[in-house]
Amino acid sequence: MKKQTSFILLALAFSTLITVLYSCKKDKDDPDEVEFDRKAMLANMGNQVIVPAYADWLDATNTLDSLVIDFTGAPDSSRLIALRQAFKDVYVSWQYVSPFEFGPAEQVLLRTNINTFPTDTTQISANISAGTYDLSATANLDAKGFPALDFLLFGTGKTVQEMISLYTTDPQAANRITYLKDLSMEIHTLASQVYDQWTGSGNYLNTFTSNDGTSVGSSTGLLVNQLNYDFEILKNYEIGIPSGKMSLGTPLPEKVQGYYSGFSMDLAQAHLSAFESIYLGKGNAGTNGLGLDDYLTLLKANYNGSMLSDAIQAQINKARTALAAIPDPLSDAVVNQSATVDAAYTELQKLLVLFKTDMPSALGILITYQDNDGD
Amino acid sequence: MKYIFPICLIGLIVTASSCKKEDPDPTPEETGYTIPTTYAFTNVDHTGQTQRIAMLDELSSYMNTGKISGTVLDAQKMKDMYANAGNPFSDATLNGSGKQLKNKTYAADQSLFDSYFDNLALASQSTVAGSNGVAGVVASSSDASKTYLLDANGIEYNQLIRKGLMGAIFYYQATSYYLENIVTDDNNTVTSGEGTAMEHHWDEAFGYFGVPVDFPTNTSDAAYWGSYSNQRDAVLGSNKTMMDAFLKGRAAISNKDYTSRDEAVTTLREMWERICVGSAIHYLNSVKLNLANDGVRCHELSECLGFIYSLKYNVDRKITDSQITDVLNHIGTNLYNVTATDLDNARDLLSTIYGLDDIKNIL
Repeated sequence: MKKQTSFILLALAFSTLITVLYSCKKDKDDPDEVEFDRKAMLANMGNQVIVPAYADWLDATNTLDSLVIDFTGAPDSSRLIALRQAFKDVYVSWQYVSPFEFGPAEQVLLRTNINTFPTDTTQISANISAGTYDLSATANLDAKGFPALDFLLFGTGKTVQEMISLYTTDPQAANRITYLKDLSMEIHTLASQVYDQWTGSGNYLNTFTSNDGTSVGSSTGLLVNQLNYDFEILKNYEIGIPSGKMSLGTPLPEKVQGYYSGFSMDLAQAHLSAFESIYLGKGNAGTNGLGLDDYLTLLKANYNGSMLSDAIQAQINKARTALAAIPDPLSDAVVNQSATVDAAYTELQKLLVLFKTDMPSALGILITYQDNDGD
Repeated sequence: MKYIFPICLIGLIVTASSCKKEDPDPTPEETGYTIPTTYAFTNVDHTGQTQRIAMLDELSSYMNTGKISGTVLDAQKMKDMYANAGNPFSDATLNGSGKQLKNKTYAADQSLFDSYFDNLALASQSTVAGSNGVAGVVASSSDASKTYLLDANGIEYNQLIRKGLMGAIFYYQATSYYLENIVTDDNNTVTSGEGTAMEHHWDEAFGYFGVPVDFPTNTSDAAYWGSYSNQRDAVLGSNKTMMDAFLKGRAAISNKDYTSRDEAVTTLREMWERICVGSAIHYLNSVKLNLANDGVRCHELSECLGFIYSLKYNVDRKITDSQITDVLNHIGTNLYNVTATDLDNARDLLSTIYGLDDIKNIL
């Protein structure tokens, strides 16, 4: 009897030992040790997040284009106001596709073609007065896309009537109308192409879903890299540079995104929401499917003694609150409320550290793009 | 059989405790990593910084030839040295390094330095001795062997360029670029010879300080900022503070102790700024002793101006841009017309801003 008890205890001890050893192994952060269905995550990401975001944006570019035609056919204040609203809608919806600069978008350099800011107003004026221009030329990258439309629809210090006169009585009115139409059409064409590559003939959705490893060039690798690259655009270009982070503290208000329309913070908030959607695997219909958070949770990725996935969500919320404290126009806030802008920049930077170093490290993903050019 | 059970338990305890060790959240005290006393870390490479220091050496040597009356300086040659264009250096490894001073200069001021080269070259064309209103070479009134090439307002562009580039490149890159962006650097993937991106960028910031690995035990090869740290060390205690912070931060990064890293960043920025303002104050004091000596006064004031301009290149600086302007306004634009009161006003304003009133006389 005694012997038997000892044996049972011994067996129990061994099984505990094995359990401990096994749980030890799990701590080693090797993603391959854990069963996470990356393919299912990519399928959710593609079907519920990426393609719907492109579909929304494509719709918005279509609306924009028809309202451009409507306005330029008979420029008046109600048409201009409708067009401006459509411009805001499409620019906001762009923020949700900006992070997907791989595959079809990368092929057409979508982000560079669509949203290089600040825009070059001298180049825009030169193109308009010349009447001929090659929108695909490198020199015109900062004379087209949304930042150029921002200038063409809002201008600087002009009333609605003064803006309308630019499209009616101004000597350059006819050329300006053509330019506006050309820019809008290019955006719509690019949106159609990329959407088609994802869903139609190119079937990149399938490529994206099946490339389910973690090495350089895998879909998870591309997604995490571009999430970070684009997040740095939010942190640096939308907030940091205008507030003087690259100019030793001297604010550069004219560098904000949406300088002429002045809804920079709406754009920045949308951009942050886009990153949260990717992180959570949450579609625009509101369904929270498999995302990077679930992957981190399954890996039990740890951050200062708690879950990394929780830490990231908490930091996203902090960043959102900090951004919400900045009033539009941001171009004024960087001068008059620099402490508020700086506070938001700090929260974005903290979030970037989690996205760019802690998360990839836990997922076994390599950040391959270079941004900090030491030598 | 009796003895297997306890042994097995011991094994279990050992395994469990070794498992515990892998839990993160170690405080620095618990990790107990060692901070070395010299910059003897693995995978340290700051060749680019060492090469830029060597480039400024060669540029300085060339500019110094203008101190001999009748030597005309070539602005294009200096601009080529600045941008490393057309093999301008006698050291061929610098020509082929792919590195340059210009593209690492604070972007908004690159053209300013090009204009300084033009101004220096223009002054060197003078065929007469310099004086108030006249560009040319001016000798020290106490030692005729010491000469300085000044413009019509007494500005020695040679010094404005040297001290200015120390600020606009070395100080700026270290305090406002590397130490600013290091928080988002990768610290997991080790590149052979360079360490992680975060380690590498820390080493590059260290490289711009211009000191040997065993500084301050060895101060002999300290260049530029390292040299000025050494010159201010008796009053500021800058040598050990700077070096300890560089060592602490690098060890902290390698041990993923980011709290200590951030403390080191704060220390480095503060002390580096004190070295800069301390040097400006030092020259303001020194100029007063040489007020009647046109050559030395203008020379030292030009060095001083270079340090005052440099104050702006620290993103975390204590002084505001308008305060820098106020200090410069005290000195004025013509160094032949500066009075002792001007110098005191400039110095007192600086010492008040930086809380250095109690040591302003001994810097």
